[in-house]
Order: sequence, then structure tokens, then C-alpha cells
Amino acid sequence: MSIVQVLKLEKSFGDFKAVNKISFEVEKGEIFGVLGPNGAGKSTTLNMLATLIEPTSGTAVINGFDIKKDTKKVQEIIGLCTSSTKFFWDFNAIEILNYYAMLYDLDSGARKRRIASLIERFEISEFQNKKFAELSTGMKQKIALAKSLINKPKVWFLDEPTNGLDLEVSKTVRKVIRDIVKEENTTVLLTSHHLSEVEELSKRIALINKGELVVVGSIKQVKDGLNFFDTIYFTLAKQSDASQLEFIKKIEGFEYIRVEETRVLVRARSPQKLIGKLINGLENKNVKIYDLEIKRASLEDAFLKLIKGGSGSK
Amino acid sequence: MTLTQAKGHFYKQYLKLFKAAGEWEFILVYPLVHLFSMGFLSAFVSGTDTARVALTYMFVGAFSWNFYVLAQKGITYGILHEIWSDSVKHLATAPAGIIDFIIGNGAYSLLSGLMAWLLMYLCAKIFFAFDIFTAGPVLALGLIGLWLYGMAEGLIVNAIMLLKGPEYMSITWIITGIVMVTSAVYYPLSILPEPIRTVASILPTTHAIESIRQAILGGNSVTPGINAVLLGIAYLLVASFVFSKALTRSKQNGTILRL
Ligand SMILES: Nc1ncnc2c1ncn2[C@@H]1O[C@H](COP(=O)(O)OP(=O)(O)OP(=O)(O)O)[C@@H](O)[C@H]1O
Ligand SMILES: [Mg+2]
Repeated sequence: MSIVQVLKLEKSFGDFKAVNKISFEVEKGEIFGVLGPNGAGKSTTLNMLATLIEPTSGTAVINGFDIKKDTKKVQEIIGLCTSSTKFFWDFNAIEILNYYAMLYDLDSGARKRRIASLIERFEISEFQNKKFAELSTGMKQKIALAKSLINKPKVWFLDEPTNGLDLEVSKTVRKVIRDIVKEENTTVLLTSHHLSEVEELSKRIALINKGELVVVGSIKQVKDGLNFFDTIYFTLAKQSDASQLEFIKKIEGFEYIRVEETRVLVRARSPQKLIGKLINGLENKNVKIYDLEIKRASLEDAFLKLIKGGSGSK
Repeated sequence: MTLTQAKGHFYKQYLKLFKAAGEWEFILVYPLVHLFSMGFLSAFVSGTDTARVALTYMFVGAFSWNFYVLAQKGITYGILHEIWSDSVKHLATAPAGIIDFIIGNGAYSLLSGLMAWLLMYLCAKIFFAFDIFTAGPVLALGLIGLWLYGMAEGLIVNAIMLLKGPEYMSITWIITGIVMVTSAVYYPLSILPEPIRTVASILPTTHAIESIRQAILGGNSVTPGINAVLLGIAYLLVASFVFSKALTRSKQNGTILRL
């Protein structure tokens, strides 16, 4: 059974419907990406799942507990971290972590152990005694992430966790996310505007637009469903060789070929499997090429197409 | 509800006392300002028996008033610190419940109130030869009544802030102002006009302060003290319920996200 089941979850603020009856499931141990443009309803969805706000209708079940009925049980097993998280500006990292560890009912031994391990994992020790107000954005976000892990959550909600961080710190954060999933068997629900980040971390995603669920599935399924092709480019040594390229059309899997002088573009679903045949064919015909490049269809392309196409596209 | 979770709230308040600006003044400055202005006022009218009684009224008023304000502050600041530092969401998603909140912050209320009392006791004793402890055991009942009611009022202010926003914190000063006039902090209840006296009779503060005064001036009835405690419990129960409803409400309509 899925560890997170979202069941017709809906949230209205007054007359405005921010999230409209969305349903999806997340499997234990996966990093699930929630995507969508600004104002799509991603944060609202995560906030409902993390019990910060109550759904207007529908519900979700997390590790067997209903977010509406067993709120406290859910709170014990989840963590929520958002971007630009703030804490008491006059407390240091240790004090902040201690305070929340107590609210999560960790006894003094457990507090010491957990805080020490989080401080090590996020490399907080160099600034652990500095006031929160005096820290850089990256240091603050490390504390925020550590705090959201204080109770060893089974489900970890991350709302744009790398927003505003430099490349180095973003990379560290992604590494920690993967490590935590592996070592603590945590499930992650992640939103991000960096599509490459989601593509790197997640296998499955949900795309939300204007409060509606547009599509949910594996990144591959989403791309395939949209008829997205990867593209192979190569350059011919001689323009006259173009006439020799007819054979490519006969190779099963290649969908489209375009030749502009010496520049050739071929589209295919999974070019890695076909590239051998292509090169063999070129050798047989004695066609020489200078270079060859494969450009993968990105999640970004899929994303834009889905948003432009409105909801419900397949 | 667990001891650790309640302790968490206490721990935060305790750290804030040493770290945040403007925390000590509630314990050190305001109580002594009250005490000394009342003390000098009574020195000014001294010499008669009436003056001795007036001094008791004013000192019991100053002691009680500050204890009640600190009880209320502990509960209100339990949330205000979070609001000011934009970190309400951490509290709202933690599994510590309302009872943990009340016990942890209430314990801090009590401690800060007792610290202010100790200081006031010493100054009153040394400079004005006034000893609040001559009230005897009834004093405990009065204090508990003030403490319970202060916490109840804090919870109501919290509920208003959760629903309307932190700028409604100023409601506190309106409520405490009304309570000060109505519950006859510095004068006998009989001075108040009849309709206000009716309102006064349902305020635990009236009974608590009356019980302490009576005890010092030689009365030996425990009834006002017991009334103060019973009323205090009733207020606290109702206020806890209102606070819990307000929290649910602000999670429903999303105001919690704007705190
Ligand atoms: N507390 C609130 N009161 C009223 N409307 C709200 C509230 N919170 C969010 N909304 C509205 O709900 C919609 C969804 O907001 P949400 O923050 O969930 O979007 P998002 O997908 O997280 O966007 P972003 O990528 O910009 O973070 C927006 O139109 C927003 O204005
Ligand atoms: Mg958002």
C-alpha cells in the first residue's frame, strides 16, 4: 500500500479554489516531485498534507493515518521544510533544534543523539553557536532542513528546499535528500522550480496547474505520453553525402529526419538503442561525419507543453 | 501530552528571558515602578489608620496586578515570539498539543510571577515595612486564582490573534485596563457603582485581590480565595476551548499562513 494517498484533496480560500480535488499516491521510499507554475497550488497541497492547514474537502492518508482524524499521529511521522524558513533570530542552531526536539517528545538522550547526527550531516558545527539572525541564507536553510528531520520523519515534505541557494549548497542539499531516503527509508514529496533538480532526484512526478492535477506518472511516461522525442544531430563531412541518408528512414525507431546542407537532425524515442545501427549504416555507405550529439527531451519541454495545452492533455 | 513537550515550551520562554530584549522589564521594572509609586503615595498620606489601610490596598493591588499580568504574558508570548519571528508553522505542525502549550508556558508564567514577587516583597519590606506574607495561607488561593485567570485571558488574546492577526495583541491592554478598573484592584469593591459591581463579581481577580486584602486586614474568611480559584478554573477551561477552536479555525481559513 502507498505510504501517501491523496484522496480528492480540495482547498478553497473564500471563493477561490486553490486546489481542486486532486488525487495521487506516493510509494514508500520514493522521491516524488510536485511541479507546476507559480500559484498552481503546490505549497497549498503540501501544507495540507503537513497539517498546517485543513482541507476544505477530501483527505489524505499518510502511513495509514488520516490527516484530518489522526492529525497528531501524522504530525509525529512527518517533517516540513520550506524555502526561506525562519526561526527565533536570537537562538542558535543547537537551541532551535533542542526546542523542536522537545516538542516532538524526544527524551534527553534521543535529543543529543539526533541533534549531533544532524549537525554532522549538514556540517552545522562551524556556526552552531551563532545567532540565527547572523547566519547566511545557506546556513539558515541547513538548520531548517535539520529541524524538519528532527523526528526522523517517515514522510518528508520539501517545498522548494533549494530556492535561493548557490550551486554548491544546492548540491549538498540534493545529496542529503538522497542519503536520507537511502539511510532512513524516508519518503519525500518535493516541489521545485528547478526542473533539472526534479529530474535528477525523482522518478515520478505530479504536475499541477491552476489547482488541477494535469498529469501524474513517471517522468518517462510523462514525456512519452506527450510524444516527445530525443534528437540526434550530426554534421556531414561532404554536403553531397546527404543523398546517401535514405537508409536511416528504414531503421525502425527513427521517426523524422531533416537535412540542411551538412547539418542533419534525426528524431527518435530512445536514440541510445539505435545509435549503433546509425553509425554502422553510415560506415557501410562510406559517409564521413565530423561530430554527433544527442539532445534529450527535457522535463522542461514537457512541462511547457502541458501548461500551454491546459489541463487533461495526455 | 507529555512532560517533555510541555518542557519544550518552558525551555523556549526561559531562553527568551535571557536572549530577547524587553523580557526582564516585565519582571524587574514594571512591578517595582508600581510598588514604589504606591509606596510613595501612601507615605505622602501617612500617619492615620486610614492611611495604613490605604497602603494595604495599594500594595496588594500592585502585587496582584503584576502577578496577573505576568501570568497572561507567559501565555500570550508563547505564541507572539513565534509570530514575531515568522515561525508559527513549526509550532502548528508539531505534535505538541494545547495542554502541553498551557502547562509549559503556564509554568513559566508562574515562575516569572514569583520572581517579580520576591523582588517586590523585598523592596516593600525594606523600604515601606509592608509584608505581604502576613496574609497567611489564603495568599496561595488568591495567587492561584490570579494565575489561572491570567492564563485564561492570555489564551483568549491568542485566539483573537490567530483569527485576526498579531496586531490584535493590543486587545490585551484594553482587557487588562477594563479588568483593572472593574475588579477593584486599588480600592474597595463597595466604591464601584452597582452595575459594575455585578461584572466584578464574576471576575476571579476581584475575589483573589479581595481575599488577600481581607487576610492582611484581619479577616479570616477563605470564601473569596476559594471563589477566585473556582472561577479561575472555569475561565481557564472555557478559554482553552476557545483557543483550540480558534487554532482549528485559522487552519481552516488559512489565516495561520499569514501570521
Ligand atoms: N492563505 C491564503 N489565502 C488566500 N489565498 C491563498 C492563500 N495561500 C495561497 N493562496 C492562493 O492559492 C493559490 C495557490 O498558491 P500556492 O502557494 O499553493 O501556489 P504554489 O504552486 O506553491 O506557487 P509558487 O510556485 O509561487 O510557490 C494562489 O493563487 C494563492 O494566491
Ligand atoms: Mg509555493
